[in-house]
Amino acid sequence: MNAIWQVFRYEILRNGRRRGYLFTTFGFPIVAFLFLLVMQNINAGSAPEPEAAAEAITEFADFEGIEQAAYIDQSGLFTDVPEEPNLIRYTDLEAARADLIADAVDAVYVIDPDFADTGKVTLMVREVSLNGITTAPVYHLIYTEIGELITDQRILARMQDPVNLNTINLQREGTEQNEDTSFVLVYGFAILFAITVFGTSGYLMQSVIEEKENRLVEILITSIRPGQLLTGKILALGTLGLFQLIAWIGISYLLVNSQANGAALIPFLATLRIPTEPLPILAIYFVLGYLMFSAVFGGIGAISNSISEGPQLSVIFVLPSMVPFYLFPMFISQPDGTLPVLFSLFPLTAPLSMTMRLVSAPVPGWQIVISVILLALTTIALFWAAGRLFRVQSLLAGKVPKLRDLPRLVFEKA
Amino acid sequence: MVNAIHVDHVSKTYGSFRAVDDLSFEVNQGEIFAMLGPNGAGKSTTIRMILDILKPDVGTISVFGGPLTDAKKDRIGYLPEERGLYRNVKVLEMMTYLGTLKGMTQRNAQSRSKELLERLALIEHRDKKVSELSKGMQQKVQFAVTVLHDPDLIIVDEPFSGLDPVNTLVIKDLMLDMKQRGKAVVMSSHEMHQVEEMADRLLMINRGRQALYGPVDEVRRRYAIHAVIVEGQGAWEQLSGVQRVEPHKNGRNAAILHLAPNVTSNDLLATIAAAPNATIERFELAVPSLNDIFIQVAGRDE
Repeated sequence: MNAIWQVFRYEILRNGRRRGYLFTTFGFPIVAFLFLLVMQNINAGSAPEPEAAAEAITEFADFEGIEQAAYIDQSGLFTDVPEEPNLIRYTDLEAARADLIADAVDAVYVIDPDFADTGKVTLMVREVSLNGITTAPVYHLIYTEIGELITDQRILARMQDPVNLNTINLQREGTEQNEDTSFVLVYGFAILFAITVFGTSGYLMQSVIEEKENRLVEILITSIRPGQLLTGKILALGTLGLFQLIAWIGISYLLVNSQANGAALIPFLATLRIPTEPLPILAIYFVLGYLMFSAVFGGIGAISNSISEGPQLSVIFVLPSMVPFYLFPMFISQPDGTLPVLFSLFPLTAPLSMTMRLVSAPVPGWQIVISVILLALTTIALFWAAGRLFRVQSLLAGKVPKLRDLPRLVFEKA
Repeated sequence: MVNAIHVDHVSKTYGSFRAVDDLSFEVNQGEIFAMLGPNGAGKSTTIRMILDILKPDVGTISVFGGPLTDAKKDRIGYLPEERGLYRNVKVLEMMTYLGTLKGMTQRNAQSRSKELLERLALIEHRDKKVSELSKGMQQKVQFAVTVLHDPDLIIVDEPFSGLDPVNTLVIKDLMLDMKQRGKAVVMSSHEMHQVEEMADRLLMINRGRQALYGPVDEVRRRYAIHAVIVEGQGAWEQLSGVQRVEPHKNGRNAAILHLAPNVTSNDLLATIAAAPNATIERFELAVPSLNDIFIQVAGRDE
């Protein structure tokens, strides 16, 4: 017990001081927050406020890059449009062309006689400029023409921005969030899970390989048992991973709820409602997921001979386990679909799948029970195998064993 | 007194390769015991079996009078042939950690580390990273780690490799000091003159089998040939009692005189003294160096 404690203590001090760990733990959430803040300000400048109430059309329409627009109505549809300072009506094409050349107007819209059927409009400009190509004046003509018929200005305004869509997924009834916020939650938790679990078990692998590469492992295992060494390391790095997770949630909570002048810095995030009910189950998945991958990574560390070999081998496990992440739209749209359910039962993909499902919708209890049991059994088996590899293989310097040699290494005696 | 190590008819096979073949020997407390043998003879495999890193296929090994337990591991210091230290960790921090793994308290491990660093003239480097030390310094730190917890048995594989003469002396002193305090020291080395100088007993392994075993002096005497080495002038062939003469390969002016069975070296010395034209600058028994014996034994089995 003392040996495990000594290893634990040392690994915590050693890995907890790594720059990479410190940045991922404290820097990453802050950088992510700043990124969101910047994105929000960029969006706020260009996009209309989605929740804005309908407003009456302004007297003078804004035609973006065009200051003075002119139109010739060959269709005879726009008879009721009053004269406006920045949208002048011409009847003579040559006069309009002359004024365009003389810089009196910036663009001339020639409404085709067949406009009602074809929507055809010819735009004449002096020179091509992206700002100058817009259909806004034509819209304005249409709205103004119809506006004479509609008495309620709000309906008219609503026509310009007819729908502010809020989708409710029937598979996730009972949750009140819209698709946007649950997208952020699922995405956020998946990333959080992947970075903490793979990050810390990656450090575990690194520290195992380092001791092999430095030839220290022979001294270590004549001092303590390989199992004690592995256990101490796994506990230490798991603790660091858990701390990272808590730090992230804590920092995110503080930042999301931070206010400037009484208003949330990122209003969008402030509408996030992080579900608290699945948190204990999420914790179980984090712990089991971490233990499973730490066994895998520890075992890989034991058979790798250099820092570059480890990650190459671990990709074999990391890639399939990340499949749910690539399919996350499916996890949002149909969390109870066949594939998401299968992925959340299969041990390698279960931690990530369940994390994504649990934050977006309630998961049937039987699925959780089966998935946890399968995951736990797999973890125990992998731990046993990793312990065997750690004992035999860590000493055999030279080359990485072939795949077909692995069963022999696991099952044979020292 | 209980033996530090007792190896009893131990064999170990890797696939079809017999690394250790029916090996038996003992190591006593208070002695320096040398393990010799060509590369691949089975020394490291034997050491790893003593340390319970590998299990023998047959035979038994007892350490301090029984199987190796966790508690007994704390009484052993091991310097593997392939040296290993954390590269990016400070010297004192690393030593303290490795000490605690041997059952020392944090405080105890730290103060003992400082004491050893002082003795090895490394104290001013205690806060440097291992990678910043010279190779010789790293070797000394490595040795310090081996004896940090004041073990009752140390097993050191090539303790002097990479050390300059001054540092060799420092390490040698530490080893002799351990012996004097009743500890058992097992050293595996290719440097025969060190073994000759320091070791009380030796075991030579060749192809996994015992080739020589016993006190160093006795082994050398056993391999002594019935001859003397002389340096000087004289018609050696014509002296009575000399069967044949061969030039000594190391001597500029030396020769090996093989004696007739009934002639002793004293007889020959008297004959030389009486011979009119003979002068001698050197006269010694042709006891072979361990190096010669090593080459002889290793070569014989080829």
